Amino acid sequence: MNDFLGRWALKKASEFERVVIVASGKGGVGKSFVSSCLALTMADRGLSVGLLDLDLHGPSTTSFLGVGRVRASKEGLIPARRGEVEYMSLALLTEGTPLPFKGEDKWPLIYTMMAMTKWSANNLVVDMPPGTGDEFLWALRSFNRRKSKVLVVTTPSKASIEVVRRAINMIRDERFSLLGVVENMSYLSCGGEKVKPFGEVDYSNLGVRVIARIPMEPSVEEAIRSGDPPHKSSPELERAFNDLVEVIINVPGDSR
Amino acid sequence: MHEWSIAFMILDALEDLAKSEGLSNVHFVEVSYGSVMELDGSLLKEALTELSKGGSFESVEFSVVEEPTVFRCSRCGNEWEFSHELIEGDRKVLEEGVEESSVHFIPELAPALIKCPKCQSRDFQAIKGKGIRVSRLEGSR
Repeated sequence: MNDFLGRWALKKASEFERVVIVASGKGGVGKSFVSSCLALTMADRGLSVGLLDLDLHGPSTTSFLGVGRVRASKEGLIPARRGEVEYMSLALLTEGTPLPFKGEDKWPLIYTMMAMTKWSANNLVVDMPPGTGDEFLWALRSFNRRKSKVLVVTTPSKASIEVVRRAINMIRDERFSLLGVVENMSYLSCGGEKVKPFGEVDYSNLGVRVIARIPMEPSVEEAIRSGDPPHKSSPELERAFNDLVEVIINVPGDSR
Repeated sequence: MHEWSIAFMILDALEDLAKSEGLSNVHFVEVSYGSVMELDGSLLKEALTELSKGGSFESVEFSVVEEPTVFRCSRCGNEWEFSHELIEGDRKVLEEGVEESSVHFIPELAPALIKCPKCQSRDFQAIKGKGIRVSRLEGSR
Protein backbone atom coordinates (compact mmCIF):
# COMPACT_ATOMS: atom_id res chain seq x y z
CA MET A 1 0.00 0.00 0.00
CA ASN A 2 2.98 2.26 0.63
CA ASP A 3 3.90 1.64 -2.96
CA PHE A 4 2.28 4.80 -4.29
CA LEU A 5 4.51 5.01 -7.37
CA GLY A 6 3.39 1.54 -8.45
CA ARG A 7 -0.19 2.50 -7.80
CA TRP A 8 0.15 5.71 -9.81
CA ALA A 9 1.80 3.82 -12.68
CA LEU A 10 -1.19 1.46 -12.85
CA LYS A 11 -3.54 4.39 -12.92
CA LYS A 12 -1.62 5.98 -15.78
CA ALA A 13 -1.37 2.70 -17.69
CA SER A 14 -5.14 2.31 -17.57
CA GLU A 15 -5.80 5.80 -18.95
CA PHE A 16 -4.73 5.03 -22.53
CA GLU A 17 -7.56 4.39 -24.94
CA ARG A 18 -5.55 1.89 -26.94
CA VAL A 19 -2.32 0.03 -26.16
CA VAL A 20 -0.38 -2.06 -28.67
CA ILE A 21 2.27 -4.20 -27.01
CA VAL A 22 4.94 -5.17 -29.55
CA ALA A 23 6.55 -8.39 -28.37
CA SER A 24 8.34 -11.51 -29.51
CA GLY A 25 10.10 -14.22 -27.63
CA LYS A 26 13.03 -13.77 -29.99
CA GLY A 27 15.65 -11.05 -30.12
CA GLY A 28 16.82 -9.39 -33.33
CA VAL A 29 13.55 -9.77 -35.23
CA GLY A 30 12.93 -6.02 -35.47
CA LYS A 31 10.52 -5.26 -32.61
CA SER A 32 11.92 -1.77 -32.08
CA PHE A 33 11.84 -1.06 -35.80
CA VAL A 34 8.22 -2.22 -36.02
CA SER A 35 7.27 -0.30 -32.83
CA SER A 36 8.86 2.91 -34.06
CA CYS A 37 7.45 2.72 -37.58
CA LEU A 38 4.04 1.76 -36.22
CA ALA A 39 3.99 4.79 -33.89
CA LEU A 40 5.18 7.12 -36.68
CA THR A 41 2.54 5.79 -39.08
CA MET A 42 -0.21 6.08 -36.46
CA ALA A 43 0.80 9.71 -35.94
CA ASP A 44 0.74 10.28 -39.73
CA ARG A 45 -2.82 8.99 -39.65
CA GLY A 46 -3.75 11.67 -37.13
CA LEU A 47 -3.75 9.47 -34.04
CA SER A 48 -2.27 10.88 -30.86
CA VAL A 49 0.43 8.34 -30.04
CA GLY A 50 3.19 7.65 -27.55
CA LEU A 51 5.91 5.02 -27.58
CA LEU A 52 7.22 3.46 -24.40
CA ASP A 53 10.48 1.58 -24.86
CA LEU A 54 10.55 -1.12 -22.19
CA ASP A 55 13.74 -2.73 -23.41
CA LEU A 56 15.60 -1.92 -20.21
CA HIS A 57 18.92 -3.54 -21.09
CA GLY A 58 19.17 -2.57 -24.74
CA PRO A 59 16.80 0.23 -25.70
CA SER A 60 17.00 0.98 -29.41
CA THR A 61 13.90 2.91 -30.47
CA THR A 62 16.04 6.06 -30.32
CA SER A 63 17.94 4.67 -33.33
CA PHE A 64 14.74 5.19 -35.31
CA LEU A 65 13.27 8.21 -33.53
CA GLY A 66 16.42 10.08 -32.57
CA VAL A 67 17.72 11.05 -29.14
CA GLY A 68 15.30 13.78 -28.14
CA ARG A 69 15.28 15.77 -24.95
CA VAL A 70 13.23 14.80 -21.90
CA ARG A 71 12.00 17.73 -19.85
CA ALA A 72 10.52 17.97 -16.40
CA SER A 73 7.46 19.82 -15.25
CA LYS A 74 5.30 19.96 -12.15
CA GLU A 75 3.35 17.05 -13.61
CA GLY A 76 6.42 14.86 -14.17
CA LEU A 77 8.72 14.03 -17.07
CA ILE A 78 7.62 15.27 -20.47
CA PRO A 79 8.62 12.64 -23.06
CA ALA A 80 10.83 13.46 -26.03
CA ARG A 81 9.07 14.10 -29.35
CA ARG A 82 9.69 13.02 -32.91
CA GLY A 83 7.12 14.94 -34.93
CA GLU A 84 3.81 14.08 -33.35
CA VAL A 85 5.11 10.94 -31.61
CA GLU A 86 6.05 11.30 -27.96
CA TYR A 87 8.44 8.67 -26.66
CA MET A 88 10.21 7.59 -23.50
CA SER A 89 13.19 5.28 -23.27
CA LEU A 90 16.10 4.66 -20.92
CA ALA A 91 18.28 5.64 -23.89
CA LEU A 92 17.01 9.20 -23.37
CA LEU A 93 18.20 9.19 -19.76
CA THR A 94 21.61 7.51 -20.03
CA GLU A 95 24.67 8.08 -22.22
CA GLY A 96 25.47 4.64 -23.57
CA THR A 97 26.32 3.19 -20.16
CA PRO A 98 25.61 -0.49 -19.43
CA LEU A 99 22.12 -1.07 -18.03
CA PRO A 100 22.65 -3.96 -15.58
CA PHE A 101 19.33 -4.07 -13.77
CA LYS A 102 18.49 -7.06 -11.61
CA GLY A 103 15.16 -8.84 -11.64
CA GLU A 104 13.93 -7.49 -8.32
CA ASP A 105 14.76 -3.92 -9.37
CA LYS A 106 13.03 -4.05 -12.74
CA TRP A 107 9.44 -3.62 -11.62
CA PRO A 108 10.25 -0.53 -9.50
CA LEU A 109 12.27 0.84 -12.41
CA ILE A 110 9.42 0.32 -14.88
CA TYR A 111 6.68 1.66 -12.67
CA THR A 112 8.72 4.67 -11.58
CA MET A 113 9.35 5.48 -15.25
CA MET A 114 5.63 5.05 -15.97
CA ALA A 115 4.51 7.00 -12.90
CA MET A 116 6.90 9.86 -13.55
CA THR A 117 6.07 10.28 -17.25
CA LYS A 118 3.37 12.72 -18.23
CA TRP A 119 1.90 11.38 -21.47
CA SER A 120 -0.56 13.38 -23.49
CA ALA A 121 -1.21 10.65 -26.07
CA ASN A 122 -4.35 8.50 -26.13
CA ASN A 123 -2.64 5.59 -27.89
CA LEU A 124 0.48 3.86 -26.66
CA VAL A 125 2.83 1.53 -28.49
CA VAL A 126 5.00 -0.48 -26.07
CA ASP A 127 8.28 -1.87 -27.34
CA MET A 128 9.21 -5.04 -25.45
CA PRO A 129 12.62 -6.63 -24.99
CA PRO A 130 13.18 -10.21 -26.18
CA GLY A 131 11.72 -12.92 -23.99
CA THR A 132 8.84 -13.13 -21.60
CA GLY A 133 10.43 -11.82 -18.40
CA ASP A 134 9.67 -8.99 -15.98
CA GLU A 135 9.06 -6.30 -18.59
CA PHE A 136 6.48 -8.42 -20.43
CA LEU A 137 4.85 -9.57 -17.19
CA TRP A 138 4.59 -5.98 -15.99
CA ALA A 139 2.87 -4.98 -19.23
CA LEU A 140 0.42 -7.88 -19.08
CA ARG A 141 -0.40 -7.04 -15.45
CA SER A 142 -0.63 -3.30 -15.85
CA PHE A 143 -2.32 -2.37 -19.10
CA ASN A 144 -6.07 -2.59 -19.31
CA ARG A 145 -6.98 -5.93 -20.91
CA ARG A 146 -10.02 -4.53 -22.68
CA LYS A 147 -8.02 -1.78 -24.36
CA SER A 148 -4.70 -3.56 -24.97
CA LYS A 149 -3.52 -6.07 -27.52
CA VAL A 150 -0.26 -7.83 -28.20
CA LEU A 151 1.32 -7.90 -31.62
CA VAL A 152 3.99 -10.56 -32.06
CA VAL A 153 6.93 -9.93 -34.38
CA THR A 154 8.89 -12.70 -36.04
CA THR A 155 11.12 -13.24 -39.03
CA PRO A 156 10.36 -16.04 -41.47
CA SER A 157 12.83 -18.35 -39.77
CA LYS A 158 12.19 -21.61 -37.94
CA ALA A 159 14.63 -20.51 -35.24
CA SER A 160 12.52 -17.43 -34.56
CA ILE A 161 9.11 -19.07 -34.83
CA GLU A 162 9.94 -21.77 -32.29
CA VAL A 163 10.73 -19.07 -29.71
CA VAL A 164 7.80 -16.89 -30.75
CA ARG A 165 5.52 -19.86 -30.12
CA ARG A 166 6.43 -19.71 -26.42
CA ALA A 167 5.49 -16.03 -26.25
CA ILE A 168 2.17 -16.74 -28.00
CA ASN A 169 1.41 -19.53 -25.55
CA MET A 170 2.14 -17.23 -22.66
CA ILE A 171 -0.14 -14.50 -24.01
CA ARG A 172 -2.90 -17.10 -24.32
CA ASP A 173 -2.24 -18.52 -20.85
CA GLU A 174 -2.52 -15.01 -19.46
CA ARG A 175 -5.78 -14.57 -21.42
CA PHE A 176 -4.47 -11.43 -23.07
CA SER A 177 -5.68 -10.36 -26.49
CA LEU A 178 -3.37 -11.35 -29.34
CA LEU A 179 -3.68 -9.10 -32.35
CA GLY A 180 -1.65 -11.29 -34.68
CA VAL A 181 1.78 -11.94 -36.09
CA VAL A 182 3.86 -9.41 -38.00
CA GLU A 183 6.36 -11.09 -40.29
CA ASN A 184 9.31 -8.74 -40.49
CA MET A 185 12.07 -9.06 -43.12
CA SER A 186 9.43 -10.92 -45.06
CA TYR A 187 10.65 -10.31 -48.61
CA LEU A 188 12.81 -8.16 -50.85
CA SER A 189 11.44 -6.27 -53.82
CA CYS A 190 13.55 -7.00 -56.87
CA GLY A 191 12.57 -5.44 -60.19
CA GLY A 192 8.91 -5.42 -59.23
CA GLU A 193 9.01 -8.99 -57.94
CA LYS A 194 8.83 -10.20 -54.38
CA VAL A 195 11.79 -12.37 -53.51
CA LYS A 196 11.58 -14.34 -50.27
CA PRO A 197 15.18 -15.07 -49.25
CA PHE A 198 14.05 -17.14 -46.27
CA GLY A 199 11.31 -18.97 -48.14
CA GLU A 200 7.64 -19.39 -47.23
CA VAL A 201 6.67 -20.18 -43.68
CA ASP A 202 3.53 -21.97 -42.60
CA TYR A 203 2.07 -20.18 -39.59
CA SER A 204 -1.10 -22.27 -39.42
CA ASN A 205 0.10 -24.37 -36.50
CA LEU A 206 0.56 -21.23 -34.38
CA GLY A 207 -3.19 -20.71 -34.59
CA VAL A 208 -2.81 -16.99 -35.14
CA ARG A 209 -3.25 -14.85 -38.22
CA VAL A 210 -0.45 -12.95 -39.98
CA ILE A 211 -1.58 -9.33 -39.99
CA ALA A 212 1.37 -7.77 -41.80
CA ARG A 213 4.35 -8.74 -43.92
CA ILE A 214 7.04 -6.07 -43.70
CA PRO A 215 9.54 -5.99 -46.57
CA MET A 216 13.28 -6.05 -45.99
CA GLU A 217 14.30 -2.59 -47.14
CA PRO A 218 18.04 -1.77 -47.28
CA SER A 219 17.29 1.96 -47.47
CA VAL A 220 16.07 1.84 -43.84
CA GLU A 221 19.70 1.86 -42.69
CA GLU A 222 20.32 4.95 -44.80
CA ALA A 223 17.26 6.63 -43.24
CA ILE A 224 18.54 5.81 -39.75
CA ARG A 225 21.93 7.30 -40.53
CA SER A 226 20.52 10.45 -42.06
CA GLY A 227 17.71 10.88 -39.52
CA ASP A 228 14.97 10.53 -42.13
CA PRO A 229 11.67 8.91 -41.17
CA PRO A 230 12.36 5.15 -41.39
CA HIS A 231 8.75 4.20 -42.12
CA LYS A 232 8.96 6.14 -45.39
CA SER A 233 12.16 4.52 -46.63
CA SER A 234 10.23 3.06 -49.56
CA PRO A 235 6.63 3.29 -50.79
CA GLU A 236 6.22 -0.44 -50.15
CA LEU A 237 7.35 -0.14 -46.54
CA GLU A 238 5.07 2.84 -46.00
CA ARG A 239 2.16 0.87 -47.46
CA ALA A 240 2.89 -2.14 -45.24
CA PHE A 241 2.77 -0.01 -42.08
CA ASN A 242 -0.32 1.83 -43.26
CA ASP A 243 -2.04 -1.53 -43.75
CA LEU A 244 -0.93 -2.60 -40.28
CA VAL A 245 -2.38 0.56 -38.74
CA GLU A 246 -5.59 -0.13 -40.65
CA VAL A 247 -5.78 -3.57 -39.03
CA ILE A 248 -5.15 -2.09 -35.58
CA ILE A 249 -7.79 0.60 -36.02
CA ASN A 250 -10.37 -1.86 -37.32
CA VAL A 251 -9.98 -4.65 -34.81
CA PRO A 252 -13.46 -6.23 -34.52
CA GLY A 253 -15.35 -4.86 -31.55
CA ASP A 254 -12.94 -2.00 -31.29
CA SER A 255 -14.55 1.28 -32.24
CA ARG A 256 -11.88 3.62 -30.91
CA MET B 1 9.87 20.85 -9.45
CA HIS B 2 8.74 17.26 -10.00
CA GLU B 3 8.40 17.18 -6.20
CA TRP B 4 4.87 18.41 -6.99
CA SER B 5 4.02 15.30 -9.00
CA ILE B 6 5.43 13.11 -6.21
CA ALA B 7 3.32 14.99 -3.65
CA PHE B 8 0.27 14.42 -5.81
CA MET B 9 0.94 10.66 -5.93
CA ILE B 10 1.44 10.49 -2.16
CA LEU B 11 -1.83 12.32 -1.46
CA ASP B 12 -3.65 10.08 -3.94
CA ALA B 13 -2.54 7.02 -1.98
CA LEU B 14 -2.89 8.47 1.52
CA GLU B 15 -6.56 7.73 2.06
CA ASP B 16 -6.16 4.01 1.32
CA LEU B 17 -2.94 3.92 3.33
CA ALA B 18 -4.71 5.42 6.37
CA LYS B 19 -7.55 2.93 5.92
CA SER B 20 -5.13 0.00 5.81
CA GLU B 21 -3.56 1.28 9.06
CA GLY B 22 -7.03 1.57 10.65
CA LEU B 23 -6.76 5.35 11.02
CA SER B 24 -9.83 7.48 10.50
CA ASN B 25 -8.41 10.90 11.26
CA VAL B 26 -4.80 11.44 10.16
CA HIS B 27 -2.95 14.36 11.77
CA PHE B 28 0.72 13.58 11.01
CA VAL B 29 2.45 12.14 7.94
CA GLU B 30 6.19 11.57 7.59
CA VAL B 31 7.63 10.94 4.14
CA SER B 32 11.16 9.51 3.86
CA TYR B 33 13.21 9.44 0.68
CA GLY B 34 16.66 8.19 -0.22
CA SER B 35 19.38 10.77 -0.88
CA VAL B 36 19.90 9.23 -4.36
CA MET B 37 16.64 10.94 -5.36
CA GLU B 38 18.22 14.35 -4.67
CA LEU B 39 14.81 15.79 -3.88
CA ASP B 40 14.24 19.24 -2.47
CA GLY B 41 12.68 18.21 0.85
CA SER B 42 11.28 21.65 1.65
CA LEU B 43 9.68 21.88 -1.79
CA LEU B 44 8.11 18.43 -1.34
CA LYS B 45 6.73 19.50 2.03
CA GLU B 46 5.38 22.72 0.54
CA ALA B 47 3.76 20.78 -2.31
CA LEU B 48 2.13 18.32 0.12
CA THR B 49 0.77 21.18 2.21
CA GLU B 50 -0.47 23.16 -0.78
CA LEU B 51 -2.05 20.24 -2.62
CA SER B 52 -3.83 18.97 0.49
CA LYS B 53 -5.66 22.28 0.95
CA GLY B 54 -9.41 21.91 0.62
CA GLY B 55 -9.21 18.12 0.98
CA SER B 56 -9.52 15.60 3.79
CA PHE B 57 -5.80 15.99 4.68
CA GLU B 58 -5.87 19.78 4.95
CA SER B 59 -5.05 19.85 8.65
CA VAL B 60 -2.31 17.19 8.47
CA GLU B 61 1.20 18.13 9.54
CA PHE B 62 3.69 16.87 6.96
CA SER B 63 7.30 16.04 7.68
CA VAL B 64 9.84 15.17 4.97
CA VAL B 65 13.02 13.31 5.91
CA GLU B 66 16.04 12.50 3.73
CA GLU B 67 17.76 9.18 4.43
CA PRO B 68 21.27 8.49 3.17
CA THR B 69 21.21 5.95 0.35
CA VAL B 70 23.73 3.19 1.04
CA PHE B 71 24.84 0.72 -1.63
CA ARG B 72 26.55 -2.64 -1.19
CA CYS B 73 28.72 -4.03 -3.99
CA SER B 74 27.98 -7.65 -4.92
CA ARG B 75 31.52 -8.13 -6.22
CA CYS B 76 33.76 -6.75 -3.46
CA GLY B 77 31.29 -6.22 -0.59
CA ASN B 78 32.13 -2.52 -0.32
CA GLU B 79 29.42 -0.34 1.22
CA TRP B 80 29.21 3.35 0.39
CA GLU B 81 26.92 6.27 0.67
CA PHE B 82 25.52 7.98 -2.40
CA SER B 83 26.97 11.31 -3.39
CA HIS B 84 26.26 13.33 -6.51
CA GLU B 85 29.92 13.22 -7.65
CA LEU B 86 29.60 9.47 -8.26
CA ILE B 87 27.10 9.94 -11.11
CA GLU B 88 28.47 9.58 -14.62
CA GLY B 89 26.96 8.89 -18.01
CA ASP B 90 23.54 10.36 -17.38
CA ARG B 91 21.62 12.36 -19.93
CA LYS B 92 20.34 15.53 -18.33
CA VAL B 93 16.69 16.37 -17.97
CA LEU B 94 15.83 20.03 -18.36
CA GLU B 95 13.86 21.26 -15.36
CA GLU B 96 12.97 24.96 -15.34
CA GLY B 97 16.04 25.78 -17.42
CA VAL B 98 18.35 23.78 -15.13
CA GLU B 99 19.92 20.48 -16.15
CA GLU B 100 19.14 17.77 -13.62
CA SER B 101 20.47 14.22 -13.50
CA SER B 102 18.02 11.56 -14.68
CA VAL B 103 18.63 9.62 -11.45
CA HIS B 104 16.87 12.49 -9.65
CA PHE B 105 13.64 11.35 -11.33
CA ILE B 106 14.23 7.61 -11.57
CA PRO B 107 16.56 6.53 -8.72
CA GLU B 108 16.41 2.92 -9.93
CA LEU B 109 18.75 4.03 -12.74
CA ALA B 110 21.63 4.06 -10.21
CA PRO B 111 23.40 0.89 -11.50
CA ALA B 112 23.59 2.51 -14.95
CA LEU B 113 25.06 5.75 -13.64
CA ILE B 114 27.16 4.80 -10.62
CA LYS B 115 30.04 2.36 -10.11
CA CYS B 116 31.42 0.88 -6.91
CA PRO B 117 34.10 3.42 -5.86
CA LYS B 118 36.37 0.55 -4.80
CA CYS B 119 36.19 -2.05 -7.62
CA GLN B 120 34.24 -0.15 -10.35
CA SER B 121 31.53 -2.83 -10.57
CA ARG B 122 27.95 -1.91 -11.39
CA ASP B 123 26.68 -5.03 -9.68
CA PHE B 124 25.40 -3.54 -6.44
CA GLN B 125 22.19 -2.89 -4.61
CA ALA B 126 20.76 -0.21 -2.37
CA ILE B 127 20.58 -1.57 1.16
CA LYS B 128 19.30 1.64 2.73
CA GLY B 129 17.53 4.76 1.57
CA LYS B 130 15.94 3.16 -1.44
CA GLY B 131 13.14 5.16 -3.10
CA ILE B 132 10.44 7.05 -1.28
CA ARG B 133 7.80 5.94 1.23
CA VAL B 134 5.39 7.11 3.88
CA SER B 135 7.44 6.20 6.94
CA ARG B 136 5.08 7.39 9.70
CA LEU B 137 1.39 7.93 9.88
CA GLU B 138 -0.36 9.18 12.99
CA GLY B 139 -4.07 9.65 13.59
CA SER B 140 -7.01 8.47 15.61
CA ARG B 141 -8.55 5.01 15.30
